[in-house]
Amino acid sequence: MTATLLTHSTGVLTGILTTSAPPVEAPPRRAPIGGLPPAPPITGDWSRGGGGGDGEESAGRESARDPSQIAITGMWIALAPILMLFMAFVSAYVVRQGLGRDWVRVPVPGLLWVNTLVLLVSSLALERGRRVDRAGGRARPWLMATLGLGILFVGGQLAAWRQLAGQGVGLSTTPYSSFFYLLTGAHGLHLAGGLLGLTAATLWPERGLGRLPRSVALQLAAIYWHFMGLLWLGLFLLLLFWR
Amino acid sequence: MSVAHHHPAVHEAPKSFITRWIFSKDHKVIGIQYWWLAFVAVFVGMALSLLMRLQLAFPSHQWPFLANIFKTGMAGGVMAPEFYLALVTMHGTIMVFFVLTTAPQGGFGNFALPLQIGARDMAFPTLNMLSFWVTLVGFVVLIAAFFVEGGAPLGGWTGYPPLSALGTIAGPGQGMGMNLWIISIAIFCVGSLLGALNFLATTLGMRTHGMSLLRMPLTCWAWFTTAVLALLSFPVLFGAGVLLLLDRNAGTSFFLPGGLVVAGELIDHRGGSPILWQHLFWFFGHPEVYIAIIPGMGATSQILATFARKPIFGYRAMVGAIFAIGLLGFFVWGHHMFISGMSPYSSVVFSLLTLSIGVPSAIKTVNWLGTIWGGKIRFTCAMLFALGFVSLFVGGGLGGIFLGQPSIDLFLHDTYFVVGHFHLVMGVAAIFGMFAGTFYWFPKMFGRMMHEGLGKVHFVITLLGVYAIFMPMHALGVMGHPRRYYTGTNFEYLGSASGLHTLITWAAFITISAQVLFVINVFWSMFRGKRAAENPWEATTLEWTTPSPPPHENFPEDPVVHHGPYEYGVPGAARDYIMQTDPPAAMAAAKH
Repeated sequence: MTATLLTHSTGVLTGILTTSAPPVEAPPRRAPIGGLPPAPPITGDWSRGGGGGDGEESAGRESARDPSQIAITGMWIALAPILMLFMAFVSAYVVRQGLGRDWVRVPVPGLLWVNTLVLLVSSLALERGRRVDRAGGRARPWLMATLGLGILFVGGQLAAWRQLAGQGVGLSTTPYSSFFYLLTGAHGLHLAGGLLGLTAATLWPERGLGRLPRSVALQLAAIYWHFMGLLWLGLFLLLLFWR
Repeated sequence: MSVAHHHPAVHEAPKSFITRWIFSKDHKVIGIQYWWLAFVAVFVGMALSLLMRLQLAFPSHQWPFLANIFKTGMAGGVMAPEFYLALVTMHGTIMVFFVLTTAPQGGFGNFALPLQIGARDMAFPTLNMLSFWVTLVGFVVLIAAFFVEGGAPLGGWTGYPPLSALGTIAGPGQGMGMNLWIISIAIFCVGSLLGALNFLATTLGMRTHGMSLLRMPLTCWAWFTTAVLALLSFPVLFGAGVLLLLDRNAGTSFFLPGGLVVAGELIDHRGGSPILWQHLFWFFGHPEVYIAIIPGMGATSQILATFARKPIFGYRAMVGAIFAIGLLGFFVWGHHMFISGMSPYSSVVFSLLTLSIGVPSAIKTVNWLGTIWGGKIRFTCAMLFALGFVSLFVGGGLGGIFLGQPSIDLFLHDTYFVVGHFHLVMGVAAIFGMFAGTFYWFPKMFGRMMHEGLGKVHFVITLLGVYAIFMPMHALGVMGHPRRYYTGTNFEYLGSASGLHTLITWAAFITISAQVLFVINVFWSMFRGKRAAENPWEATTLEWTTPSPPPHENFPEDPVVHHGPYEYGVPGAARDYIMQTDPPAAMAAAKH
């Protein structure tokens, strides 16, 4: 299961970074058109043509096909299923909590506050790194800091699990604890995928690789990483206040 | 992250056999691989249904030759009840996931989408290759469930807990077989998600010059909508599967209530809710129905316009209706759960939303009829199957108007009425969409034409056959015959059902036999069929501007699109159609 989750997140990451779009070229050409003037677009006749109408005016939209843009679009699209997965878990959580009776509260380990802070700072470091990169400076120290903080977060989450387990609270102890391990675990796996992406972005050469410039690699990693941070905030608030 | 190193130029065909035909990143090869996967899976699924039909028509009959194949399931030649349930489960799972979700989207979509929008490949070819191979692994894991101890799972394709969450105490297949079932579905989810991501990014970012959204063929709109549905519904199924696995293997109680006594044993779980699974499952399950059928709708629109030699009637209304069906599909899952004890107020809401899907469905149907109305129809096999699609979609869909009403559903729920309904409207209709797509795109896929005469015989037997199989099931349902029962002979009130069961079984036997004609047609045509020209159907969309089969890079130069996708029957045109790439002057010339 963990393996599938991991492939899920890393597969998306690696795949995103290799697009089939051709390199950005000169502005799009149009086939030479000679002779007759274009027909006026036909409107109002529902049975005519396929929506698009004809004629040169509406030949308008040019193809985008910018590999960077496609990769960024792909990354945003990839966030949707991750969000849906967590929405499924959270709605199950809310329903289960509503069933009441045996819902036993478990104290949330205080370590989670520290971990949350670490993750937030890692996002700030990443943004700082991107700004330095844009200004042409050495971004790598900031990116390494982000990575380090990310690893620290995962370690902190594991330590919190150990703490709970030490108190005799396991996966199946109470419904709340089941969800606690489920949500933190699923988030941790997705975040681990983000660590791989961050590593790739950190190692990305200054002059770009394949068809993606370094700034785009950083942007892709940043979209995913900040999303993981926001997702964690949401989950943490849920685990704290919806008990 | 080395994938991005030395990425080959996309339009350079790979040299080695392995990278060209096996681990291919070419969308055309991947599409054909998906198509073959569904081709194999559909015959496995049909074989299972034939075994079920044998049992239903001739309960407890001895089939000695089957005892040799299924040593435990058919020990002594008589089918064990558990084996029947395993057949039900595996038939449903194979058909829904590895046929209905695989060929229409992964197969035809992968093959034709980049061609139709004028792209050289999908947006992320590596991801595309990965999604096929992940899906294939899912299929292998599912089939493996037959061969593990205890055999295949018994819980039906919906895998309802508590029985699916318990293990072998709930039946032999509920041990390892059930675990494999869940894992297979989870793997399938991952493959589908990767595919959906690719479809969306491709449609949004890879269109060629002049290919505005509203100039895309309706097939592209259908694949796009399907991808949105997959992207939002499969994660929920994946999540539900994770919870079920934890319940089974880690002692949690997400779906297992307390105080459960199974086979005389008190189950050590408490507090969970089996209904929660139903909500999660059907939140996925209903969109899944549309994932299966919407690509067929797209292919039908494309084919009806091509062979009626008329523009599609109401292009924008068709696009809107596809979206409306997709959107409404997310708010109707409760109609699968009317008898779960839900509040009658919720049932009314779900019922109203469900019946409102009739509106966009009617728009589509009427527009299809408007498209062929007064057309110079060319009755090719592709056209016949597309017309069959419309017939089955309407014929099966009408049953949904009954089932969508809670008061009627209370009686018809889990009867053969439901089985007849969904087989016609999403099973067989989607299969007809695939047949239509195969006959239509075969020349492009394999460079040769399929045999029309053989195809027509196949069509007639199949159309009559499926109605003969699934229409009587509605009558069985009205009689009150429960579905998934191993036999009805223990119930006095079902005494008159045996005649219908025999009829259905014979119809199934004949229909399934007729599929051999299709197999022969495919293989014969692949090697001996007439060589296909570039545009054998005189169609207008971009895939027909390429050679059959298209070269690795699809288009030597980016095509430029000047027209909508369905310019057929243009008055005054030299040919009666104008291709999307024809210069803008073509239309003006035709008009004057």
